Amino acid sequence: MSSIIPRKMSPAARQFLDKIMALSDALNERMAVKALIEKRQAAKQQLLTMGLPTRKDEDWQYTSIQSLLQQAFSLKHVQEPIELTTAQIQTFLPNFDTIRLVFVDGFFSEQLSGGFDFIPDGLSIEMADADAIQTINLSEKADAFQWMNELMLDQGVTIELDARVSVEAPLHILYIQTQTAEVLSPRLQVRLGQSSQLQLLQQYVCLTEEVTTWVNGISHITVGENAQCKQLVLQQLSQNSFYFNHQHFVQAAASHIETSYIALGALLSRHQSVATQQGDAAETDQDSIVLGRGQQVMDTRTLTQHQALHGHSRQLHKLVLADEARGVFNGMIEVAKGAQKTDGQMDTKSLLLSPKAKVDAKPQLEIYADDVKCSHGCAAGQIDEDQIFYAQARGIRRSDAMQLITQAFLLEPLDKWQTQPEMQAWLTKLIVQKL
Amino acid sequence: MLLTVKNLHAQVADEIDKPILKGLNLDIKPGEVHAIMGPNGAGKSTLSSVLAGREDYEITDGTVEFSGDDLLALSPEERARKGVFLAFQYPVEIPGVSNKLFMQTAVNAIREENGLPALDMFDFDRYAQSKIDLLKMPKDLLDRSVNVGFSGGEKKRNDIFQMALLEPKLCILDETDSGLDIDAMKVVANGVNSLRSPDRSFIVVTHYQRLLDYIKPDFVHVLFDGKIIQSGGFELVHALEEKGYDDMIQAHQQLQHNQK
Repeated sequence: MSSIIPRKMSPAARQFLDKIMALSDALNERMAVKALIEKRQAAKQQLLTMGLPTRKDEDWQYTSIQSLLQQAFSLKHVQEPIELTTAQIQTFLPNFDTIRLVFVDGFFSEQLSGGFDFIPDGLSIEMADADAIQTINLSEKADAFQWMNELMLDQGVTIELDARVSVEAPLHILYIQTQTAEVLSPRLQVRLGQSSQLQLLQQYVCLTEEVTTWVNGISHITVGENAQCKQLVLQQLSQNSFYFNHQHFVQAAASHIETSYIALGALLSRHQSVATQQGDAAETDQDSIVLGRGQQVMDTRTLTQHQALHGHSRQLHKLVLADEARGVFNGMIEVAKGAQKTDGQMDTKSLLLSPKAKVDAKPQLEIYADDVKCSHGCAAGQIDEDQIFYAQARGIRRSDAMQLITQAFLLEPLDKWQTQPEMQAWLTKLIVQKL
Repeated sequence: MLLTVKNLHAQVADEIDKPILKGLNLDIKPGEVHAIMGPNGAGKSTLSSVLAGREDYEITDGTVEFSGDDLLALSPEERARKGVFLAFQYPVEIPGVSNKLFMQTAVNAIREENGLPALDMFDFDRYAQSKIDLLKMPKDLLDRSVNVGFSGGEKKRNDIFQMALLEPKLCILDETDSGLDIDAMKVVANGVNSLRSPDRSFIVVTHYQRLLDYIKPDFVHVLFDGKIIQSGGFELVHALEEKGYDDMIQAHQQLQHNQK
């Protein structure tokens, strides 16, 4: 055993960690599954050693967690689920068919869920199964937030899709938070069999703008040979909430994933997407739409690991920042030594609507193979006055012109939903409402 | 009178003491086509920009009256709504905004000004198709993003198409012919000619006579050093073609010298 000296922490960080460790201890008594208790206790040791990140850590250089540390959270202080009616959640639901799983404050609500008729043979969904949720093992590179998820791990969803099964309706997992100062640590595990197809929609909302919550999730998705997964994460938490999410796709040969992140809410948010191409000729598409205003800090990160031949990856990230909002983008494309013929491309574009808005974008390439094609592009700027004048000269009001141009800029990643016009229309509406 | 420009003085907003327009006068009646010609740096594009309301310019003296309104007091969009149209020397690309949405928004802005109900998607489509047919424009024009991926000629054509849709009272063509090959220039000229009407006037700003051969303006003005130094009919175009600007400029300078 090597001796690791615990990291020194600020009093605020120390206090925060003490409090959530107490939540974990209480959870151990309430939910005394041996395997889970062991995991939580290991996470505790890990956190005591590694401490919480500060802006001195390279990965946190642009993202301060101070606003989170000032909060105090509770874990399942309501023992029984809050009863909501379908009418109360209608505003969050799309107007097309989905297989819908609704969680209210982390409790599965059978009454609000639906569309089970669309579940084909070969798709299994397991909920809150202790054995299922503890099978994700965190990597040694896991950050403090993943360990905090493990520290307070109490629930999860495991989805398994058999080989060659295509699920027609999107699988929609909606997390609704109704209680202020609750922390939610969702964990999602998805396994797609060979040549299967699944569309996954994860949506995070607060029942009202008055609810302040902290969602700290982990998703782990393994995609079998030639399987396809189209995933969308819709983050619409209230403007004072906190959102951290770490998702990891592991891709077999000829698999194709498309992952989109749409960030509209939360005071502080950080969405990390990792895709590991383990098999040859895998395809990875990642994009994001981030709209920030007020004091929001919105961090989006991707890590694309090309580890096999003929890998293909495309990325388009769009940020619009108004007022004093801050955007952070960090994208890393890693091409391993044997990953010849990799074709990777990453683009980030930001539009700053106010002189006090700010974006820090850091695209990175790390290439250890010699026959690859990789590029990244990064642009940030204000709205083009020539475009506005052109619209004005056609009779369009300045404010309408700005709206038109901003909207077109931000919605570009939605073009990929053209084959699903209902989805595209719904997402457009959600974003335009916030503009 | 549709447009009355009196003693107009203008300069680039952040370049004080470098006047570009130095006392320009111009009267335009409904239905008239005026050409403004002149050498580089005479102030031709400045005049177009000032009339359309570009904020990069500052008016230091003079007045512009358009249909009884003080044009200089209006915002660019108010000018467009009242019937001033500028065809750009360099039409601007707006990625992600379809020509259809852009022009539907514009047409409805102008309809709103005229107290008319907005056109819905279907009515607009029908209206736009009629203009596409009139001008013999490509059918897919509406579905493309505004000017994105257009050649120089296509951009100018798109501006003429927009002009047809908005049915303005005063069309200003700001060196629309620059960078066009002969075929594209004919398309622009045909567009202008098919939009001519007794209650629509044109200001055609150009460096070359070629476009004017197709358009045949009623009046031709020579702009030099921020002023109109000579006005006449279409024959002036050919006088310029034969002798160039130099003779006319020298005569003008001699005259000024003598007056002093």
